[in-house]
Amino acid sequence: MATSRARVSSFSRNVSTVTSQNPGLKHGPNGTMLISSGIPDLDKILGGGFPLGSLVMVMEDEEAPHHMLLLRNFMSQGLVQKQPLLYASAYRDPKRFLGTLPSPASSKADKSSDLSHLTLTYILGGQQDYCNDFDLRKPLDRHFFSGSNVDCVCFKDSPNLSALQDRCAEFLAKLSRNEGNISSAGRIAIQSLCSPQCKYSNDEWHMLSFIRSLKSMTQSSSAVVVVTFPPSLLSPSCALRLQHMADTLLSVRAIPDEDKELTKLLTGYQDMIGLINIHKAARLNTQVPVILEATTFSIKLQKRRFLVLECLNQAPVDGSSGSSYSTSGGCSGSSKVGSLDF
Amino acid sequence: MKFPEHGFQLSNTRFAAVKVVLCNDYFETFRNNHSENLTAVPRQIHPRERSPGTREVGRIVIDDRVLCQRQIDGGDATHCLQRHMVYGSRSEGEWGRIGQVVKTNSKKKQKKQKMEQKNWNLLDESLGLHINDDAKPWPLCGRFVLVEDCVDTSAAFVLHHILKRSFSSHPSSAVLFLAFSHPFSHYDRVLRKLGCNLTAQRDNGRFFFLPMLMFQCPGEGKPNHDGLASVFEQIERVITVLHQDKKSISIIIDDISFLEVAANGSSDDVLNLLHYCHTLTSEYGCALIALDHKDIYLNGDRTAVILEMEYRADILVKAEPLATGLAKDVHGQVDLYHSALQISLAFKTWIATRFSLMVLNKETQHQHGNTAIKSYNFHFKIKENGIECFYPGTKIQ
Repeated sequence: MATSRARVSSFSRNVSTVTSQNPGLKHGPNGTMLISSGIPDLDKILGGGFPLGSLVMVMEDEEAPHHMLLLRNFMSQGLVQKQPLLYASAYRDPKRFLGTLPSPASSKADKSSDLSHLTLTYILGGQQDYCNDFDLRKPLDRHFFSGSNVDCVCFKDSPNLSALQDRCAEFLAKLSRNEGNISSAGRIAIQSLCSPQCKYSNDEWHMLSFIRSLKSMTQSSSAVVVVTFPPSLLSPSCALRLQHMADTLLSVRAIPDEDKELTKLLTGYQDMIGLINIHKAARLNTQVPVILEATTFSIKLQKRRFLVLECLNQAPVDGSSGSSYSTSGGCSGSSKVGSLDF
Repeated sequence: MKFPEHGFQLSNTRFAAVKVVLCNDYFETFRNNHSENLTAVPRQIHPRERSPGTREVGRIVIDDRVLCQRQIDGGDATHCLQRHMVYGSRSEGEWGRIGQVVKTNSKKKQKKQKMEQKNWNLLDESLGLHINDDAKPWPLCGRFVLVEDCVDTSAAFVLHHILKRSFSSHPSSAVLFLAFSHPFSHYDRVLRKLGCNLTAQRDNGRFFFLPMLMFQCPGEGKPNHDGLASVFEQIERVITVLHQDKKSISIIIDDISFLEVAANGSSDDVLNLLHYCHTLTSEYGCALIALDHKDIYLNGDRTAVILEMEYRADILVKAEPLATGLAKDVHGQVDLYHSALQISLAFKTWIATRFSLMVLNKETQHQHGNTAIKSYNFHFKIKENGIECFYPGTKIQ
């Protein structure tokens, strides 16, 4: 973005390597810098990670806290890389939430029994540090989040979002992008922005203008903002406006435990804990849309510890003679992520 | 390929009964774009019939009976029953009036024409931008172009395209850009890949960028003079200065939904601003191009803005994803209309049910006493250095 002045040529480098100065940053297409989402598979699906200066919106499933999985990994990844973090939620004591963050898998040997994990880590560009595998059952060491680079905000009792906006502005001002090099990246995680217990939750325009100004501030900084919101609690038009504002738009959905039809249709249905949908992938500095091979992925826990995303695979149907099922038709690009399961 | 209506200024309304003498290949494409009730009669022309200095290889006769009847009813019977049109060599597909087609004496000119043809695409053609005549004003002058899109398919590329065309086609054009959604660096990078240097144009005084990212109207209850009124004052100031330089000006707004958020959801304020901008199109001959997201309004919430915009728009461009889902080689469909108001409404509904990406160009040009509607539907693929437009099913890999 700001680097565009320095670079006069219209050709942009398309290198996708981890920069030497900071292992948490990677060059993306069109002169962007990427940071990891904390989930190796999601990084891979999105083409490397979240670009700095982008706004990521996650649409929650109101019946299940799957968005927290994404948020936790995103925050942990930043803390492990010692990136500044601002966490805002409607919890009374947001600091306590940091105690539930997952810890990076301790050593390679821990996972060596699992082939697919190893390959994933190696495919993701040589240096493991860009993106860690997080062990969801092991809490993050205290020293990662006891430092001064972590800031927590509770917006439950505040009458409007201007206090949060000021905190975000203050946070982003430190990370404002100047010409040339980007040395560090920041992360802002806002959980359940439009949750009904907040006083401003009736004022949709207020929330929209907050997100809009947050987006504008982020665009000129080297930070990534992840906001989760429950679309079903908002009016449809407001939810759509938020979706339009997002650079990267994801949605998570829980799946019912006993759905016999789906069990027949999809392989590994029992292991799935939910579905993630990628509606939009960020396209900063370009007009070409990102078209993914598949947009719906299943969320699974490998060994009950590691979060993995896999393409949906249609189960073999007994005695089928080429009949196709429309529910799984859109997810045919299955070879990429889940191929090692077979 | 350039279609014959440019020579003849024919339009959909008048194609009820038309006989076209035309080779079959041409006829197919021609019919797809106009009407089903055309009949084709291939006809080779004798070398002696050929106008000197041209490479004419065939001739079309358009027999326009319905048009003629209408005109008799209207008291204007002087128009000819038959219109003759020639077409050039098949490989190039050039069209013109008799004697006008492709003068062979100037090879340079030919090459230039060919180059220009290559640079046009269906979007240019449907917006009327392919008429590249320096003597005439910028084709969008005095027009209001509304671009609509949805979450799945962004139509920002249409704005980029118009921006690029406005700089490349007319030396005297200037653009005022109200950016509510992206910073300057984004547009600069995108346009640079399209072959247009916005920084240079800004320094030349042809590109005025109003960064509106952080613009927010003060809360309710306060006089809104600090709000959108001040924005309009800025716009007007720039326009009046540019108008003195006799430049053809385009105002581009990206996008209206952000403008609404900036105005704290006050539809009236937004409509007022857009109305004032629209008056500039008639007062100073500006073009107004605005992007909005149609899907926001589809559930019937606060539809005033989009309805009024659609009513006022001279050209409506709709971008939607393919009904069959996202694809790598086709990014979506466009429908475009030029039309007069009343007929266009009927046309709009017709197209809306048939296609997913649409450009509606409501052309209020009066031709032979009739108002004309043109509508286009095509698929597109967005690339870094431009867009590729093609009719459904005609994409050659």
